[in-house]
Amino acid sequence: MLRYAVMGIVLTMTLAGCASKPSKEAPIENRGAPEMANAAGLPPAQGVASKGTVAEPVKAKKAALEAVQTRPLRADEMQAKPLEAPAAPGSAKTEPVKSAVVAEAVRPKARIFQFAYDSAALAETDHAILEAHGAFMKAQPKLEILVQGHADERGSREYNLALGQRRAESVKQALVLLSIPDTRIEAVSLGSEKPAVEGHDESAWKQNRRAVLIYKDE
Amino acid sequence: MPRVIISLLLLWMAAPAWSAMTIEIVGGAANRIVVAIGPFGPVAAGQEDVARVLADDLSLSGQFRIVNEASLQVGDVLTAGFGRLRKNDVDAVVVGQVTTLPDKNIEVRFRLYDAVRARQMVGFSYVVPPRALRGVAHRIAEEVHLALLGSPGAYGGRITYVVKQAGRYALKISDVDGHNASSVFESAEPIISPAWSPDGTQMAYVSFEERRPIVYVQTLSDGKRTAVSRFRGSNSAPAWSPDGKHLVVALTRDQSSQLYQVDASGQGDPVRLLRSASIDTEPVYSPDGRFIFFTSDRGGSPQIYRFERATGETQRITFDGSYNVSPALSKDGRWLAFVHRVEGAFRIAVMELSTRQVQVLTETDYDQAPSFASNDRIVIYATRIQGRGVLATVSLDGKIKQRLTQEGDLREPAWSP
Repeated sequence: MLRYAVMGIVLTMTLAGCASKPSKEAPIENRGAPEMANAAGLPPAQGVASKGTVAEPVKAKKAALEAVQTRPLRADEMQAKPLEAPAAPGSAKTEPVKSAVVAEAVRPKARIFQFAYDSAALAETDHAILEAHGAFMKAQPKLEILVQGHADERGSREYNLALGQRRAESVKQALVLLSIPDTRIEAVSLGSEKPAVEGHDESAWKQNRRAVLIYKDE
Repeated sequence: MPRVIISLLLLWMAAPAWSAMTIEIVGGAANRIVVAIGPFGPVAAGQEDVARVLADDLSLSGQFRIVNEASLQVGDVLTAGFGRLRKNDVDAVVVGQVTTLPDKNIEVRFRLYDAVRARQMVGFSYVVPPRALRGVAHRIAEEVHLALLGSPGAYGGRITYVVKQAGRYALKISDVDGHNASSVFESAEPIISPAWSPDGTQMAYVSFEERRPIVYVQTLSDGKRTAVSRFRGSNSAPAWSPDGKHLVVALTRDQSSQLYQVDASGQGDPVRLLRSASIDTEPVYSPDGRFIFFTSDRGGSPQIYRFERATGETQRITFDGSYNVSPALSKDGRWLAFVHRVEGAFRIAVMELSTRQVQVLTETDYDQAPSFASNDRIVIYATRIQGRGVLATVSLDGKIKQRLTQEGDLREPAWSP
């Protein structure tokens, strides 16, 4: 219960933090999250606050679900730092010419890629997300990323470590195919040692078989 | 199968060296040998009770049923009375005596009698400092086991394992009964795959303290540790060569997990042993050094293979099922233990290498990390019971099972050489 409560708090903060910027990308499906939101007693109003007009419970719930679905993408980034706003034009650090590009480039929010059991194959829907990251990385040629691969808890810890590496490499290779130099992408594995969800059922395992893309400046 | 549980928790709570580990038997031999143990004399405050440690050892082996025989005298030399013991189904009798010598050392004597033939089978006297009394009790258990069963027991060894508790990880070493536990290394990040050096003086393990897996070798006597494999990517799955001079590790420096040889001192460059486009990991040497067994998914699913060092030939070993991983070899090279997935459950199986016959030994669903006991007749492994990581042992016939629990999640066991 404590875990749910903590997740609920993170979730609440996350939703509050991004309420004005709902993600447009198809989020990674996450069936576990809505239940957790309910268990934590999340007020649905948080998710729809920016929309302002939703009154019916049905709609409110739908909006909350949409918002919740983006949540693991953020909560699973263990650093849990809030997304930085794109550098303001004319900010002291940025060269004037590039600042225009920076302001236009959107840092994609979808960061988690899920995998089937004992598989490192990316889903069809992942490619659009990776293309968005590729475009952003081209716009930000100095940015480097870390891809962490993970496996669910079952079976061998060592095989899972190798499997997590293969998943991280899948993401890396997809970006390399999009002409991002491989020197900008570090692929590592944490195997089954760092589950996103501490459950022992298919719902937890599904969320834990993942690769997480992390921008190194975040 | 009747579920026999002998919990020694209450006994241990009174013991001077309180151990947090609880051991229970969850299945024993069909016909246990009944051993009567007489009193060994009064136990001084703070001193180990040799007779009780002996009784615990033998009970927990699952091979013996212990009866305390109050009619026996301390240090008895039995010449008669076997008929009466036989009426109580007693097969064997242990009598003994603990005596403090003038120089503060302690003498422990015992004799084991065959109650059926009414004669002594074995008897010894040991003189030790008081701190070694538990060791003497384990030694007597070994002698009794060997005399009555004709095969060695596994009472005196050490085990290593990892405890995860309150978000921290500790690599521990303890006696096989959980006593005398001490930490080898503690970290806020995961520790996996501990491997004893062949002489038992060093431990190789994988630590994530630098946010990626790196292989360390630590000397147990002084705690000195060296990163023996810290190359780009993952460094994991250390396996000692039988001579202790090098380790085989799995590295991802060339993308996919591949097997390399590194020097145990951490000097020099790694030497790549195999080339595949697949995952190769979990190497383990055969005791004669001729083969390296390992896990690979080169055939489409993870299976165990064997690589012959002299010829470079690789041969697939496991064929049943679509997931066979984590090879462990018995010290006599006869048996291969591994994790075998059957109907969605991950169980410990053994293969007799000469016949390639496979037997699944366990009924739990999340078994991991098998390792053979020093006597080659028991496999220790990690599993999960009611959401909690525990250690367990199973005899090679699958009949005798123990469970070792303590606070926190236990995993990654390995029996000392």
